[in-house]
Amino acid sequence: MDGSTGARDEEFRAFVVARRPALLRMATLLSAGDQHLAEDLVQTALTRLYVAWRRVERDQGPEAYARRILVNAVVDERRRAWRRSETSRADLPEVAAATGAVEDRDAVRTALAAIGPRMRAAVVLRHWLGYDVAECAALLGCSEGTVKSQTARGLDRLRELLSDELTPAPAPSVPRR
Amino acid sequence: MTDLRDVLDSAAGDTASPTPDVVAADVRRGRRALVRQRYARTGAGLLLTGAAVAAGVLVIPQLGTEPAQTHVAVAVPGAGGAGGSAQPAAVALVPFDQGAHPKPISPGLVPEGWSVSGSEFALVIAPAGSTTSPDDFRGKLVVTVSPDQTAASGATSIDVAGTRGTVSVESGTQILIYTPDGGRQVVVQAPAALGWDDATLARFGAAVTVSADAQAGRG
Repeated sequence: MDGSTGARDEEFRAFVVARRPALLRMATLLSAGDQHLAEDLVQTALTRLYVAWRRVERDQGPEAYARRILVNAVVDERRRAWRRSETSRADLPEVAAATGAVEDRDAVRTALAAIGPRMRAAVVLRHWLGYDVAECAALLGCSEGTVKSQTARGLDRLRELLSDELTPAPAPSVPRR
Repeated sequence: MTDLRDVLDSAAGDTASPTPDVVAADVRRGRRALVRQRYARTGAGLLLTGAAVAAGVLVIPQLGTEPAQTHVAVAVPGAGGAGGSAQPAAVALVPFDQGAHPKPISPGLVPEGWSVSGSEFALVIAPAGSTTSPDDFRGKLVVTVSPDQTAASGATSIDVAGTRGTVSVESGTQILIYTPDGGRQVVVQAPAALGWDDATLARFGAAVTVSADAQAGRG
């Protein structure tokens, strides 16, 4: 192992120790609670991050790069080898409405699964990670108007599914999560 | 009224800090992908070159193993030289002392004066003074286990330790493909700078040992 490889390993290892949990949580939301898929997504993101480490360090930074890979993997159907196991639903399932337990983790995850990957990603980026509309649009590869409509519709659906008055929180300042 | 962020935060779950094993696995996957990328960029194969050098000390940084280790091996001059089959300018082959801990892919012979490094994915032998990363295969002699590698059209047949192999030349680089008895297909890439003929390349290949720990260098 030469010096450059050793330095890459050391820096990458430190990043994984510090940020893997956060990436796994993000992947959990993007995959609507599918833990196996979330782990696969994180492993894929970290592998690509290691390969691109030097370039990524100079450019956008490792966490932003890893997040981008997670989002792309979820929203780009061509890359979604697991898509057959995930179904978009036109009708809304009966989930937490029966109990009103918004805090119930499984109910929220089921609701997230019902809104589709792109809308879900928009909601997660905008309302959990605190990205602004422009940042969401850049990451999702769509217009700012699309981001606004996707997040609004996603929020409406989650409210319906969870029978709760969900209130978007103000965008937090970076670093997020 | 419920804060959406709190709802999502709950759904994201709790994750503990990764264990050392998890971190090591992430590093290992990254390294493997990096090697594959470099491998794909530079083409399959190994490069053996040699400018005859008298007795040499080879510094051997181990690529892709954890933790990083460095050891020194001595190439014995004279013994096992290229002999009459090599062209006059060819780098001589000399026996290689693996020491107590041979690599997953280990050479029995090496170009005299060249540095040897390796991982479970590739054996990399670089000319003296090479300063590029062990992951960069350009201008180096490289051995990988590559089950999916196929011989180029026009490749010639050659005997490698009693089994049939093929040798082709792509962009000036010799590519030897063979499958040892009971083993997996091995690909050797040798740069033109070595000045080797096919027989010398086959001698090198015949002396390579591939352990069960070796992993395919191409996904």
